[in-house]
Amino acid sequence: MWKYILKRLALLLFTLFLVITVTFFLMQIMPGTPFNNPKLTPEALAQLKTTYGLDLPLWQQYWNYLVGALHGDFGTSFQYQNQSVSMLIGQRLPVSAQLGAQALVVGVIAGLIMGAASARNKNNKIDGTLGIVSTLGISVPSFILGIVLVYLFGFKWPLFPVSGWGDSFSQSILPTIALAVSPAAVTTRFVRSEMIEALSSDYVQLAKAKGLSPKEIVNKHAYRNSMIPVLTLIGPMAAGLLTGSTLIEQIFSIPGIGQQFVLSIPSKDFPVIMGTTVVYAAMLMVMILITDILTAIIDPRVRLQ
Amino acid sequence: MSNPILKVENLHVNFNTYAGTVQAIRDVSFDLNQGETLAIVGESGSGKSVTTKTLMGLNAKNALIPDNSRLIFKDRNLLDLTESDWQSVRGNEIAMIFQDPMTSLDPTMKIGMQIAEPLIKHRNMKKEDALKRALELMKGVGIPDSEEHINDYPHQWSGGMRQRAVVAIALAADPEILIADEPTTALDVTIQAQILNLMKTLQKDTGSSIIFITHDLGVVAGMANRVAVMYAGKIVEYGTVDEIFFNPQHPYTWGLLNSMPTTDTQQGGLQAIPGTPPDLLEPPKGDAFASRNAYALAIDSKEEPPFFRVSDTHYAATWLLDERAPKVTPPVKIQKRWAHWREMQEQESQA
Amino acid sequence: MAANTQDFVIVGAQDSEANEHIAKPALSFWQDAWRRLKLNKLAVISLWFLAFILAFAFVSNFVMPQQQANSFNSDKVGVYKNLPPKSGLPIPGWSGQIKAPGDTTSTDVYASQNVPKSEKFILGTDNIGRSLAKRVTVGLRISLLVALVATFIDLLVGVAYGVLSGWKGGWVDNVMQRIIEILSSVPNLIIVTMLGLVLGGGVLSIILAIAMTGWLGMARQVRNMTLTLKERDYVLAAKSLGESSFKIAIKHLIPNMAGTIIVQIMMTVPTAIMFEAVLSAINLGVKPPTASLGSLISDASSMLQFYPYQVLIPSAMLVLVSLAFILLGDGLRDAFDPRASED
Repeated sequence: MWKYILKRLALLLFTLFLVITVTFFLMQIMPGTPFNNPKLTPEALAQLKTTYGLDLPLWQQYWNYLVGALHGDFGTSFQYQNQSVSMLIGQRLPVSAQLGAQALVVGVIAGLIMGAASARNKNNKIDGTLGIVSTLGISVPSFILGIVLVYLFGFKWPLFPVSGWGDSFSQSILPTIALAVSPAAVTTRFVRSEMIEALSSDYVQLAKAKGLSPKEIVNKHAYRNSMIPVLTLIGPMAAGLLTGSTLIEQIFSIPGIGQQFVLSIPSKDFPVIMGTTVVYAAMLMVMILITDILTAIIDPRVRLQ
Repeated sequence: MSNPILKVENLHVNFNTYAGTVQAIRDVSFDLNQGETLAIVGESGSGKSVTTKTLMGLNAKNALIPDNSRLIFKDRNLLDLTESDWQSVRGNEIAMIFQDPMTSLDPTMKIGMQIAEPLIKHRNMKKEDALKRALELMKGVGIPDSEEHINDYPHQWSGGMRQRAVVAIALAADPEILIADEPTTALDVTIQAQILNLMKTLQKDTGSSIIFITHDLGVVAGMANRVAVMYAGKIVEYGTVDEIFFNPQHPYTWGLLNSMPTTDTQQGGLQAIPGTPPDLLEPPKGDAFASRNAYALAIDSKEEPPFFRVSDTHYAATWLLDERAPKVTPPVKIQKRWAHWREMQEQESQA
Repeated sequence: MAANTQDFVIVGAQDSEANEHIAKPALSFWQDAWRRLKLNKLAVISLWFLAFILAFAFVSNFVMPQQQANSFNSDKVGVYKNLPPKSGLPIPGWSGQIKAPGDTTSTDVYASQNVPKSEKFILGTDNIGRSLAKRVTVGLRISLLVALVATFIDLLVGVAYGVLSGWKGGWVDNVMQRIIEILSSVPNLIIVTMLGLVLGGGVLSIILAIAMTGWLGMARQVRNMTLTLKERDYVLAAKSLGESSFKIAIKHLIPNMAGTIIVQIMMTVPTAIMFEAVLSAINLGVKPPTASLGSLISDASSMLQFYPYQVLIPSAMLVLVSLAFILLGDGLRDAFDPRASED
C-alpha cells in the first residue's frame, strides 16, 4: 500500500514537472507580452525585464522557475506588480476549494439518492422523470445554468444574493447549485446503471433466494456494490468542477482562483496563468490519487500494486 | 416413498413477450418425496430453470401462472403466497443452490456474513450467534481452516470453495427442500465430484429433499433416486433412476442417453439428437418431439401422447407404448441397456 | 380415442434442416440496432431534430452569409438596438414588449425606439441592432462546425491511438497509456486555454484546442475494446492466416467496435460545444464580429438583467443541441447493446 502511494506520488511529481516545463515553454512562444505598451520607453522596458528576470538566458529563466516552483514560488504577477503569484493564489484558493467541495458533496449525495431511486423504480414514471432531469443536467453547462439562476433568483425573484463571497452563506447557494447539477446528473446516471446491473446480478438473485426483502436486498447488497464505482467518477467530476468554477466564479463575482485565472488571460499575466495551471493540475492529481486510495480501502476486490 | 413433501400439479407458466406468449411450462406435475433426490433433466430451453424459479417464487414479472396450477407444500398452495409470505419460505423452508459460484456471491460482503444472513433473517439470530453458526456450516461444507477464512471476501476463494460457500448458504436455515440448479456445471470435473459428494453427505445428515436440475444425465446417476425428463416445457418420462437409465421408453430419453459418454463408448459412438427444441411461442401440435424423432408415428403430429404406465413408478408419454403401435427396435446402445435391465430384474426376482 | 390404426405407422423425423430454422427473422447487427432505436421515442425525436439542425446550418450558408449577420448600420443603432423578440402575433412575452427592471408595466420598445411598423425581429436584436435570429443562425453554424470538426479529429486520433496501443500491447501500450494518464491529469480547461493562448484565437485554433483534449476518452474506449476483441476467435483466425495488422484493424477491429465509437462521438460533440462556449467566455473564443453560440452568450451576459433574451436564446439553442446529441447517444448505446433490450 505505502509502496503504491509512493509510486503514485512519484508519478504525480513527474507529471507536475512536465506540466511546469510545457507551460513554461508555451508561455515563451505566446504572442504578446504585457510590456508591449508603445508608451514604454526602451529603458523602462529593459528595467521591467530585469525586474522579472526576463533578460536572462532562457535556460536560466527555466531553471529559476523550476527551483522557485519547488519552494512554492511562482514569481511575481505582471498585473499586480508587487504581488507574488503564490500569495495571490494562496488568498483565493480556500474560496475556490470551499465552493468546489460544497458542490461536489451536494452533487454526489443528490446523485446517489436520485440514482438509487431511479433504479429501484426502473421504467416507471419516477425513473422516467429522473432520467429526463439528469440528461438535462448533463446537457446544460454549469455557466449557462449559473446565468439562468442569476436571472431567475437574482433578478426575477430576488431570493438569493448573486454576487460576492464570505459575507453570508446564502451567497454560496446559487453558485453551489450551478456547479453541483452536473456532478449530480452524472452520478445519477451512473448509479442508476450500476444499480440496475447489481439488481439483475446473480448475487442479488441469491439474496432473493435467501428470503431477504427487496429493501434488505437494496440496502445490504445492491447499494454497496453500486456505490463503490462512484468513487472512480470523482476524479473526472473534480476536473469538470475546475472548468465550471472558473466561469461560475466570474459570473457570481467570487474571489477564487478561477476568477483570477479568467482575469489574467486578457491581460496576459503569464506568471499567474502558469501558477494557476500548476495548482489546478496538482489539485486534480491529488483528488484522483485520494479517490484511488479510498477505492482500494473500501472495495475488497481492489488491491493496490 | 409415498410421503410427498411437495406436490406440483398442472403447472403452467407463460411469459408475455413482445413477440407473443411463450409457453415455457406446459402442464407439469410431479411429487417430491421426503428425503429423496429428484433429478429434472433436459436440454436448455426445456423449462427446467423456469420450474426452479417458479418453485422459489422468483419468476420474472411477465410470468403468468394460470389459477389451476398448484404447488402444494405443507398444505398450502405456494402460488397463492404474497411476496412477504414467500420471503419467509425462501432460504428457510425451500432453499436454492445456484449455478455459477463465481457470480453468485456478493463481492463486497464477507463470506461468513453471507452465510449468516439467512439465519439472521429466518431464525432471528443475533449477528454474533449467526456468525458462530456460519462457522460451523463452513466446517460442515469442508472449508479448511474456516476460522481464518470467515472474514474473507469471495474473490479470495477458488470456484470450488465458493460453491461450498453457496451450499452452506442454502443449508444455513435447514431447509426441507433444496433446489440445486446445475450446481456443478460451472466447476471443473474434479471439483464437481467433490460438490456432489458433499451434497449427498449433507442430505444424509439433514434428511432434506433435493430437486436436482441438470442437463447432464451423467451427474444424475450417482445423485438421484428418481428422474424426470423434460422436453419443451413438459415432462416426457419419469421413473426411478434405474428405470430411466436401463429401461427408458421415450425416444427423447434414448437420445439423451445416447448422447452421453460412457466408459464403453466406442469412437464415434456419441450420437447427437438432430434438430433443435421447438419454439415455445407456438408449440407444435401433438408430440413436441416428433419432428426430431426417428421413431415418430403419424399420430404424433396429430395428438399429444398421454402418460403410459410402465411400472408403478415409471411413466412415459410416447405413443410407442400404445398397444396399437408397432414394435420398434431402439438404438443398439438402448438395447444393451434393456438387456442389462432384464438381468437386473432376474437377479432381483432370484433374491 | 379418435385415432385409428393407420396413425400408428412410423414416419420418422421430419427434415431436420427445415426444423433448424431460427425463429426471429435474421437481422444484421445494424438492422437490429435500428429496430431497437426506433422504439426509443426520445432518441428518434433527437435524431430528427439533429438532422433538421444540421440541414438548416448547412443550407443557411447559402441563404445567410456571415457578413449579413455581422454587419450593422452604425447610424441606426439607436433605433434598432436591444429590441426584444416580436412574433407579430399577440403572444405574451413575444410581442416586442419588455419589462425593464424596476418597472411595473412593460413598454413596447419597438414603438419607443421608432422602429418602422412593418419591421419585426422574431428573436429580437443585440446591442448594436443586429438581428438575433441571424446571429444565432450563424453562431449555431460556427459552434457546430467547431464541434463536429474537433470531434472528427478526436475520432481519427483516438481510434488510431487506441487501436495501436491495444493491439501492440507490451511496453508500447504501457508508454501510450502513461501518456494518456499524464494528459488526463491536467484539467482540460488548462490545455484548452494554453492552446487557445498560443494559437491566438480564431476558429481553427479553437478546433485544435478542443480536439487536443477530446481524443483521450475515445482512445481509452477504443483501447479497451481492442484488448477484448483481439482475443476473439475471428481475430486470432485472421492473424494466423497472416493478415497484416493494419488489415485486421480495418476489417475486424474497427467494424466490431463501431457501436462504441458512435456512442462516444455522440458524447464528445456536446463537450466540444461546451468547451467552445467556455473559451468564448474567457475571451479565447471566436473573434468579433464572428458569432458562435458561446460568444453570443458571453457577450450578452453582462446585460442579463436588462435583456435576458439575448443570453437565453443562444443558451437554449446550445442546450437543445447538446441534449439531442446526448439523448441520441443514450438511445444508440441501448440499441447497440442487445442485453439492454428486453425481448
